[in-house]
Amino acid sequence: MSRAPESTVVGRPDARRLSASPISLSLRQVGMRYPAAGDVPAVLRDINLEIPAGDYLVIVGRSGSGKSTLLNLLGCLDQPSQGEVLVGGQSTRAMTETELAAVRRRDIGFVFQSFNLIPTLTVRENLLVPLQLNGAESEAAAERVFSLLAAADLKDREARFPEELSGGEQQRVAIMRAIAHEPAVLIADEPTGNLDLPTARLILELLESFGHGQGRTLIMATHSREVMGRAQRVLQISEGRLLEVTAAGPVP
Amino acid sequence: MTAAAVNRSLLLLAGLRFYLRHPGQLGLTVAGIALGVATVVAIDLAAYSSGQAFEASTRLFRGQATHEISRPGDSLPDDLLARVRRDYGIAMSAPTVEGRLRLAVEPRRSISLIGIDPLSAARVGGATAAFAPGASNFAGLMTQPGAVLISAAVAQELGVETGDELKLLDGGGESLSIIGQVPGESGERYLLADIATAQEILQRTGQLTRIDLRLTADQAGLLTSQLRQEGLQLRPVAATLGQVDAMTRSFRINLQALSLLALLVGAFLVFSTVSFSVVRRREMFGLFRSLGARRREVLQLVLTEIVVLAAAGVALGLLGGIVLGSGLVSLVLRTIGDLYLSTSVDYFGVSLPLLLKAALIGFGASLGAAAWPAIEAARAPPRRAMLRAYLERQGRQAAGSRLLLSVALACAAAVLLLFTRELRLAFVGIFMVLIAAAVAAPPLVQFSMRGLAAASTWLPLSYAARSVAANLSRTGPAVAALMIAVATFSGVGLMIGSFRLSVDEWLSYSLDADVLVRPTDSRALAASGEEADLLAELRRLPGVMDLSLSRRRALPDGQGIATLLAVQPAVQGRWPQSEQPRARVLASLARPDQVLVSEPFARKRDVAEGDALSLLTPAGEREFSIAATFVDYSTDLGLVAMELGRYRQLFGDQQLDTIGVFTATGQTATVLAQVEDLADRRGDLRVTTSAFLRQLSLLVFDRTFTITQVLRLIAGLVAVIAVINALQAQRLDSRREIATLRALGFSPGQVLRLGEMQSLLLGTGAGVLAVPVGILMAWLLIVVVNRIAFGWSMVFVIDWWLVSQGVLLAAVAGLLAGWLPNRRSLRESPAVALRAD
Ligand SMILES: Nc1ncnc2c1ncn2[C@@H]1O[C@H](COP(=O)(O)OP(=O)(O)OP(=O)(O)O)[C@@H](O)[C@H]1O
Ligand SMILES: [Mg+2]
Repeated sequence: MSRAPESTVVGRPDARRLSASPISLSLRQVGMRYPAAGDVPAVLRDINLEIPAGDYLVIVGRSGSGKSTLLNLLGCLDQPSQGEVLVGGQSTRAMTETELAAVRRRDIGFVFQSFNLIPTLTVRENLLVPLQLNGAESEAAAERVFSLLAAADLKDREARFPEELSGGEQQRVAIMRAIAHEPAVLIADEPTGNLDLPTARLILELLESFGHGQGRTLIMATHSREVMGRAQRVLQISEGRLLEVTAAGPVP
Repeated sequence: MTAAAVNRSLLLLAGLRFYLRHPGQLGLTVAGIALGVATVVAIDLAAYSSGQAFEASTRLFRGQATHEISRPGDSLPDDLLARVRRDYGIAMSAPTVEGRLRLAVEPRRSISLIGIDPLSAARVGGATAAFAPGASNFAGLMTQPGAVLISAAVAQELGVETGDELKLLDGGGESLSIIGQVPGESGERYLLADIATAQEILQRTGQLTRIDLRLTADQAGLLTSQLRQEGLQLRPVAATLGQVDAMTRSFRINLQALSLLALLVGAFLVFSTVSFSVVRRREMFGLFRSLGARRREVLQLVLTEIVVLAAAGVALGLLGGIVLGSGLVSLVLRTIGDLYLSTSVDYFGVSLPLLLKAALIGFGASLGAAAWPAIEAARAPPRRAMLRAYLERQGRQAAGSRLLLSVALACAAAVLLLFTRELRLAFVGIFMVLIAAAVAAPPLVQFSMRGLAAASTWLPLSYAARSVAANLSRTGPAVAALMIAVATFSGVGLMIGSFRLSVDEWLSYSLDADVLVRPTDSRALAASGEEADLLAELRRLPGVMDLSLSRRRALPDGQGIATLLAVQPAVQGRWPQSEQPRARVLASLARPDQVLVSEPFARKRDVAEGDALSLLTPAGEREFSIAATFVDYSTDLGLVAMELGRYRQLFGDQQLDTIGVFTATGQTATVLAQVEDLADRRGDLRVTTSAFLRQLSLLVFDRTFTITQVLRLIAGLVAVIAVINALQAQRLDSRREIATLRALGFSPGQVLRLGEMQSLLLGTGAGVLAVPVGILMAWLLIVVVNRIAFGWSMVFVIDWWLVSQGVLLAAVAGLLAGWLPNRRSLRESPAVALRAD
């Protein structure tokens, strides 16, 4: 393990900054077709989308319409089959997997519907992962984790393993993990889908208070009408196309 | 179709799809079963065929003989034949002398020389094949000096034919002339000669290996009691056929131990692969249950599926085992042909019961392996069976009871091994020890990984260690199989190493002279009264420091036949290898009433230093006291050593077998040349060096253990499959986790290195655990089995390099096995992996 910077989980030592500068995301003529799907029409077709820094965007659509697909593309978890995704004005098309990983590590935080905490790491350690990845000093990281735990009201849970938490608690940890390294963009794919209403509300508040503002972009897929009402922009996917729904207006 | 039937076929479909989607898992399961079964078949076949070879060789030239007279471990005097014919009026009697020699054309393989009396052989009805083509052979053998017939196999192997000469390897350029061939396709390798010729060539003048007889029941009854008084044995030929000769026992026991070990390793592999393929789908079974499938249906599904897989694996394994076995058999037969049998027989037979046994083991281990997780999955409340956390917690509870079970097993084994004198029970004990270790392996690896995770401040390491620990509910059986395989790999290696070292050490004591001189006809030398002159002449040679003299003969008494070794040791020699100081042992030996006994003798007769021992001499029973015991591996029947002068007095036998010449440092070559000169001049001596004999002995030793080395290699292979299994389980479990890591921004390189760290930890963990187990296994094989089977004590040496090879094997196997799955996990887009739930 001599190639120290790359070979450790801690990541590049020069990845110093904890607070990302705001960035914009854009989709240019993006099309997505899953290779296994045969003749089925593309999930996404000719999508053009600009998401300026600091936006609060909600994506709605029927189940199977392609919400997750779109978020995965925005979060650089997947590459489009057509067109390109620009992160901070830079196309990701020609990026290697390592470069993509760097983008994910630095600029993006992702919250999943099914939490996806690492089962063999404790709450505290789960929160440490993105910090170490970004090369945070261990003291600074410890402080950061402490404040994150406090903010999510999870201080007495820090030594537990994910399986020893309730769903709501797990999602709180997941959100904290997604924003721990202060990414420019926070993406949440139906973060409240698995939770009951009061818990969902709590999670939303947490997401909004940490994932939005100070130039940070929040992008969320949801079925919840309540969320739609709070967002700056609501986009609806249907038959592979993206429709801009009037901001703050009720969805038919 | 009834609802239940629909249900069941859908369940089966789900099982089928699972394997179609994971062809690697399918391949691995079938390969695991196949390799396990093949291992059992191959080693068993080797053992079985060698048994058959022994039997076939015993039948050779027996004709219509019903009984044989022999003296285990020693020869018969040839005047016995005359007495049998004269005193008991048994005309149908045929003498045989058998021995091995080496030819100049093929110095590495010895060949057997069978000496018969053609006339008596014909009377008993043996050797008819040899003389069928023409009576000229018959007369030629008896009249032409050095005439031999060769078997077809020898003719083919050496490329010689009638009229050629065969030069002997040692001895003053003597050669044999081939006067004909014995037809036959059975592949036996031997030379056939007239008995007088054979006795001369083998330096067994006046000695017979056995006398074959054709007896009526009355004659047999009469003879048996008469002969017993002379320390001779009359055995029905039928009984000798299946009977294991003392000489071959060690080899057969070695094979038997190996086949048991192979069985264990094979069964473990089957167990681990199958249980893994079931455990992997526990969630799926839980889901079926939550959908309303009944317990019985789930159980049926699993068992049906496993029977189908096991059928494929067993079929492949039987085939592969036969192929592998035929290779091993030729190896084994070559060894026993070189070492023990007077004839080498190419025998390869597949026995149905043997195949059935292997198939049963294959099915049994498969079903046994599947049953437990299947019952567990069927029994658990449906929802809970799906929850990983539940499984892990259950696993944690199980860890305690596993350790307890393991300790209980180990204790039982220890008691058994301490108190048994029964070889079979000792094997059972070793088995139990290994199973105890296997049962304890997963929790131990788990604990150590948790410890490592807690101790490490480096997150990647503690993460990797913790996921190895967390995955053990699934990887457990594979880890146990890996551990057993690696332990076998190093344990068997250690055993061979220690054995070899012991033999080497013993050779350095028993072949302590530098040059060995043997009279070609010791009786003639004794009769001529020239012994003193010869010894004086040898002593006078420049560079000669000292001489040792020895004579071996059978020592029959009421309890069996040991060998009496009469010696006059050299002052500067090393013999005997005893715990007592040599000076004291030699001083005791010099006293008229003291003898030394070999360890096997002491054990067989249950005597110790200081005990009295009465020996039957021509002058009647004599009381001796045992001064010391010494190490000897030459025979497991036991050796009694007596001072040569005393022996000559008591037994009236003036013959000498070996004169050991001790030379001054660095003078061996010059002394050898002079002794060879002397031998050339006299014509009645054979000369060889200890170094040569020692080398030859070790060569033979190594060849004997080739099959053991093959088992080691198989164990290595098993280790690799087991570790692939474990890593597959791990990789599959962590598919989602890896995707999450990548979503968090882990680069491909980082993910890869994490995976590799896990592979390495898993392999090394099992490998390190295998170290004490392998050492224990070797110790038990060397110390317990040998002592029980032969009464041999051996040095036990731990070759740490060899032990670390085992750990290295496990670690490298881990890394290699993880290579593909680690890389494959990167090919998938994290989005897809995260979607799979
Ligand atoms: N790996 C894949 N292979 C083939 N088709 C896929 C794959 N993943 C998604 N799809 C298809 O793409 C379409 C969009 O899926 P996506 O998960 O983006 O929908 P979604 O809007 O997030 O739905 P939901 O609200 O249920 O989560 C679906 O029709 C789905 O069947
Ligand atoms: Mg979705």
